[in-house]
Amino acid sequence: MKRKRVKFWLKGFLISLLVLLAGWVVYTYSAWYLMCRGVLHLTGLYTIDSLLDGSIVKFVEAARYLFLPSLTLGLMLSGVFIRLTRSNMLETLRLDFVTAARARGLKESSVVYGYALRNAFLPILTMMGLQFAMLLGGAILTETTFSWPGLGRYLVDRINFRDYTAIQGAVILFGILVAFVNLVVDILYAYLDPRIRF
Amino acid sequence: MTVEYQTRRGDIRAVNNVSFTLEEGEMLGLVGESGSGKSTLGLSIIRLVPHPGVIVSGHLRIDGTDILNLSEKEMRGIRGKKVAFIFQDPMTSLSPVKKIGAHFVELIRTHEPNISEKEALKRAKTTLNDVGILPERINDYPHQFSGGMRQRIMIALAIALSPDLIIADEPTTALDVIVQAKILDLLKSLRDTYGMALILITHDLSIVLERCDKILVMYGGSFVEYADNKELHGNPIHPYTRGLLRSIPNIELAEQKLEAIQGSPPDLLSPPEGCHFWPRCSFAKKQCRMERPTIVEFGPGHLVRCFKEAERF
Ligand SMILES: Nc1ncnc2c1ncn2[C@@H]1O[C@H](COP(=O)(O)OP(=O)(O)OP(=O)(O)O)[C@@H](O)[C@H]1O
Ligand SMILES: [Mg+2]
Repeated sequence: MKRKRVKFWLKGFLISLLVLLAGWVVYTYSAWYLMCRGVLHLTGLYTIDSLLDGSIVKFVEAARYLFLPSLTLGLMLSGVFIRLTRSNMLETLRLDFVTAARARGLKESSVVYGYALRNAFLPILTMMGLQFAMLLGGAILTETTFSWPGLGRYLVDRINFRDYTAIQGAVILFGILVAFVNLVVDILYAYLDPRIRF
Repeated sequence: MTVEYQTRRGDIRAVNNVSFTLEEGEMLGLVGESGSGKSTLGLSIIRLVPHPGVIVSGHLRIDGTDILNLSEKEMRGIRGKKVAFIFQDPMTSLSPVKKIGAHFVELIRTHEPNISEKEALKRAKTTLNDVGILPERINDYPHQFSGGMRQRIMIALAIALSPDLIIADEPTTALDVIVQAKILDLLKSLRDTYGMALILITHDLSIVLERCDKILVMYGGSFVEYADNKELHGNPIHPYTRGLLRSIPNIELAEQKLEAIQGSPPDLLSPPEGCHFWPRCSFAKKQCRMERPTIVEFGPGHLVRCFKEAERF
């Protein structure tokens, strides 16, 4: 609940910021129509389409539209990760092997990153997999407010039209994405922690 | 050397004015009950007393240089290279996500940057062989070893750069009795081959009596008695040392009753006035409660902090 409030506030804040920055990051309803004009329409992902089209200029253009929504989504989730990383690091830094590494005269940076962070990262990785679902949920709201024609807004539109087949399709796609990301996380987990083998 | 833990409830003097000297190749046993400040003293030698611990005063000379005056960077050059530390719990002293070999390579290349990774691995294998671990297992992870083997690996890490001093903080407390004896004998034989000095921290006086050249007894953060092995065994002065000696089982005197020392160690937040040991001492007199005894030299190299002794002269 709290995070949603933060997100709405952030949205308002970013939009006003944007007005001030005037033009660098584009935000208008009709902007993306202009964007689409003359762009190859293969995947519907504008960044990828523009690259397939072989136009760097259009790619940069497409990336500019993504900047603000991505920032909003990322900032929203970063709170969870900052807190989790902090508490995990504090716990790991107290462990014996960290003291033992210091006692061997290793540099503080290799103690903190090579020993503490490497070990504290495992639960963070799990959280990344879980939070991916949150990210998709957040995308629905963010795309609606930023008028970005993404999957999230597509889903909302289709719900408004009670277009059940389309809703099913979008939901299944979201589900597959979440499952896939979590699979990747599990495989990475075994790679990072030698104690885990499948 | 004096070390304090500055906590919110007050300063805990974990090490109160303890001093000793150690010659090359000597083995010192540091004995005391749990909480007597042994680990704190050991860690202060490599300046790694955990927060909120502070070395309040003292000198610590290694080859004449006072390491308390060194910068943090210079200090890192000493840790692992000149003074190595072996911790109590081998199960948690190695990073679970790093191969054994990586621990060695990192250690060797931190202190000797121009050694190649290959060469460092080769050296690691020789060292592992010295402590009785198959060199082929260098690519295994810590969880693939038993506790005793991990402690051997920790010892190998300690001797890898042939330091002048190794501090072993209860290296065998987490292991069973047979492995315990093997590890301690390994330490002693490595000492004999490499000639480094060794500080063995333990709460078990019998371990120290069997192996060490000199013994330092601590109680409640304070120096109690310091002498070489024979002298301390044959002629203990301090009532606490005597109590410890009487509490060791002895096969020849099977009939003898084991005596425990009555009472419990002092609360270091508010230690008793006078001698820290008086509430448990059967010889305690009025003077012991009022003032703190000074360290007196009883015989050559035999130091005691007790009034009982001062009176004899
Ligand atoms: N981080 C800390 N904060 C506050 N006090 C501490 C801290 N660490 C240790 N102490 C206190 O310092 C004293 C000495 O602790 P130390 O760990 O040196 O004892 P020890 O002799 O090694 O005991 P053991 O045989 O159980 O290992 C204890 O009374 C303990 O309460
Ligand atoms: Mg200890």
